[in-house]
Amino acid sequence: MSRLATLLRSPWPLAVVLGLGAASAGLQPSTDGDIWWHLAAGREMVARGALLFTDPFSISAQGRPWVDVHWLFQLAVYAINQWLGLGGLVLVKCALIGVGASLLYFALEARRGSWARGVMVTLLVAGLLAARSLLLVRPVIGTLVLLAFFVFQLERFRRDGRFWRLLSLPVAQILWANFQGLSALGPFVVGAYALGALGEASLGGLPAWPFAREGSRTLTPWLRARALLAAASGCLLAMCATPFGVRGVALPAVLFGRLLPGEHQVFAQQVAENLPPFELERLSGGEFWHFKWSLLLLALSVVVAGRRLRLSHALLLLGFGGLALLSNRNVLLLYWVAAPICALGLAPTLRHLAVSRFRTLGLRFAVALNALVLASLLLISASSAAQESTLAEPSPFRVPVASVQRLSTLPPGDVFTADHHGGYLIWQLYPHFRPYIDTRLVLRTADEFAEYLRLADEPERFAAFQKRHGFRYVILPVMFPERYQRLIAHLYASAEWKLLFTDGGEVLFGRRDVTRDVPEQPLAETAETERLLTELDARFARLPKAQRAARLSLATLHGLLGQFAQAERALSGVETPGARALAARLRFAAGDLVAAEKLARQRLVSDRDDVGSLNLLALIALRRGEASQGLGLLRRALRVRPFDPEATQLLANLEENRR
Amino acid sequence: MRAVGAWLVGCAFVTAASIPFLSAQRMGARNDARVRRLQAVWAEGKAVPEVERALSLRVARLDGLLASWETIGGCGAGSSNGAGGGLKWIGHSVTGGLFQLQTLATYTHLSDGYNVSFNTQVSWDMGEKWNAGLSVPLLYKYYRDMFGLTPPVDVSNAGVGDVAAFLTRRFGEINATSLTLLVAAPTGVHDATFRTIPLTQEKQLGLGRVNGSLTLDHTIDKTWGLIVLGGSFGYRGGQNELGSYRAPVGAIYGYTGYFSGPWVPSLGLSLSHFFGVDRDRGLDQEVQLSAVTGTLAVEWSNDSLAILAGVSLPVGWQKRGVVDGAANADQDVALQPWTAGLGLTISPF
Repeated sequence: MSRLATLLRSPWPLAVVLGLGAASAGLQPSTDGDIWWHLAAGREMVARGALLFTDPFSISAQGRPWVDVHWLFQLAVYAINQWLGLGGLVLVKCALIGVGASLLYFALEARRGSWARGVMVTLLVAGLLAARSLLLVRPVIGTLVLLAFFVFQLERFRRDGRFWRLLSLPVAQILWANFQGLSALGPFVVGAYALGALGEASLGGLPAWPFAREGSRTLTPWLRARALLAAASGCLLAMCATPFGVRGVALPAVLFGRLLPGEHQVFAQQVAENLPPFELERLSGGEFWHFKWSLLLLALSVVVAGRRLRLSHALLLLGFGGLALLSNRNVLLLYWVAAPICALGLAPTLRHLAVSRFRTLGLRFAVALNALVLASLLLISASSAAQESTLAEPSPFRVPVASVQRLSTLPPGDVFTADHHGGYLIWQLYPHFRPYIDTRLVLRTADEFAEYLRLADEPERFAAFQKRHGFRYVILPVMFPERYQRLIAHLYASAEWKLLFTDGGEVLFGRRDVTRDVPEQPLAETAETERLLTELDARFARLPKAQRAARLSLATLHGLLGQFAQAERALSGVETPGARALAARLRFAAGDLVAAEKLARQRLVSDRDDVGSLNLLALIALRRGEASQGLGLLRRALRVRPFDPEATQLLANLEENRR
Repeated sequence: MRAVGAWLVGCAFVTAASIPFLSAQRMGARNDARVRRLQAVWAEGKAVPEVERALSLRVARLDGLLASWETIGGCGAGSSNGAGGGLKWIGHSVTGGLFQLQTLATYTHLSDGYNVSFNTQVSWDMGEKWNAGLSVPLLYKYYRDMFGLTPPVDVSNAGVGDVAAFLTRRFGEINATSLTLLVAAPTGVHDATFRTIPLTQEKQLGLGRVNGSLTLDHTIDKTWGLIVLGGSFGYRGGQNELGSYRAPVGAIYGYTGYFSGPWVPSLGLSLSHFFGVDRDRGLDQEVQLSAVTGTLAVEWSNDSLAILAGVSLPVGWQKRGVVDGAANADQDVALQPWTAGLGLTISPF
């Protein structure tokens, strides 16, 4: 056999492909708001030479106890950032994803003729690509690696029964407990294997026991169960080995409680990453289209596995499936853990279908098909990565880079920011400028967070809030997210505040009495719009998609402030559906119903299901008193998207006005 | 029974996966009832209330929009030998990606066999007015007992048909009218033989000459659904070097679809006429020059995926042609081969 053939028959080429594919899925600039306060915490700990036990950074949680179980992660990312910069952080993240994926790959048994590893590679790369937006520079990456390590050791123990493999788990658990609150997953995973072994030991002898054996015959079921229970207990104890003692152990439970949905549970309902994936899909649409299909694939894999399914694997699937249904951030964890289990279920059936019926031809076809699918996934991954901005800078529009630069030249003071902007402000300007809030919501009560959110929804409350806190500056995003648009319009119209800076994507307001010498940005002037457009076009010259988004954001800002001519100028030359939809709404806001209708109907021809256009046309018809037409359009919008927030709100308004 | 554990876990995941569908159905029914109540109130003569002027300036999508659905089946050897084999895709659009990828599998039932085709189209929007794409048909044609021998000999022919490029221009204030030019290259084999016996031209994968079509569509958008009216003219390549000839064909049609959440049932009627008789190596083939085709289809779609299933049944008349040297011209009305299709479209990225 030639050396090449020997190499191809070894497990390594496929492992390398998986590692690269998994790593490439994470190749995107930093988009997360958390990483900045993690970096700032790392810097602060290094400066003080001590851990942080209270919050030094934000106004609303100043001095409050902070169970900072991420301290190890924070020190690590700070060191990497100092050494390699933000781009280096992203690359290290990608490398860790690749390492974790490879561990999962080697967790599967390399049996001759087994297709499990080949199927798993494709499934995992597809899953990571689908959940790409969740692969952030966050402690969850460490959790992925440690989860993979746990699965690797437990699967190896299942096969060879060597106890030392279990001894490594509590040691890894200590690392995990000082890395992220999700460390409770360690005892859960070991517990699932322990329960599986316990079930087999106690009931496995019954003819009706519906699961496969949990391990080889090198150990008796009871001995296996006892060893795994001991390992689970060891992991639970290891969770206490943090500088925060019992509070550190309790933190996962506190965080889990915040995911539980309920009418008054503001953290479950108002934090995007905590929303159940199906609910997020109803509200925004697009990001989690794959989730229901993944669940169906999981169902198929366990059904075709039949009695080959192990109880431990069933418990893992149910546990991680439940977490994913509870909160979209956990979808990534489900895909990570489910890929090898799903492959174990599907692979023998696929092999049987291909080889038993079509023999060599079937084998060749299946291998070619898998290779084709995998190659397509890698191509998609590379294509997505190629369209991103540089890794060395934060993703566009996500953090207020320009506003913070401008702010650094102004007199110090407290700042009201969007929560996801708070961390960046801390990282760049602490201690001279402090934000009211950041994304460490564990430091805030539900009432405090609800009060903060109400300021965006009901900006007339802001004056009283300002009296209590005396902010000197306000920094808000225009479109990412769009939640703060009302507050922006309110502050712009206020006599107390003036616009110090905007580039269309973010706004910086300053209190007039403390920024007397600072000039106001003349946004209402046409020349200023032209200047901003020139600047944006130059800034995003290599990123046409971001360039269009920037223009759209600027047009939105102008529209919010009633500057419709400037808004249309900002939109000129942008030929995207979003731009056309915005143009229609701007015309409507300006009172030009005829033009708004024409533009909306144009959109409908391109996309018959464009709910935004249907909503707009419904409003136009109702405004004209054409009740039947308006309701017909509204009904159509609601049939396309029954949960569309705008359409349901319009329907509720009509019902309210009827009474 | 012994795999009850796997079945329970599987059922749990199927139940979870069905949540969006079930909740959308329930919410849809509630919304419908609420809208009906409002209609009833306003029908009593109460004034339409003032609605809030403020409207969010949020626009959900920033990405490029894909091309609208185009005719499937089209010209070239991918379509059946009659005019009634094509299914027109009537329904919602799949949007949000950089391009649109669409595959339609059709099965045409013949009296002596069947044709299966997989037609894959990829298309891109080039601004608001233009759309361009490529169409690649994969064909499998099967004929039973082709020579009437004992024992019978079945014949099949499979491969790529005539690959086509198409360009669409949209017209009107709201782009309600579109004109599509499709040109197919002679990539399909047109001179296949079975043991040195040439196959007749309808059994070939292509004609061996450039062919094409021009299609005009007009869409009327209603609150309850849509109506598509249009016509097409197809140049099927004329005569090739083997002396085989395919006559041009023209058609007019009308389709209507009803919006019911993610489902769009549709029906349509198409009237087609061949301007001449097809010839195989100089000999006339028996064809019905005119046909009317009824089509019934249903489409299900979400934002990223659309699936269409449909059937079409043509009825032909004006039989023409010279078969075995005997003139044949009668007015018999007869059913032509029916076609069933299953299509899928996605809009990646």
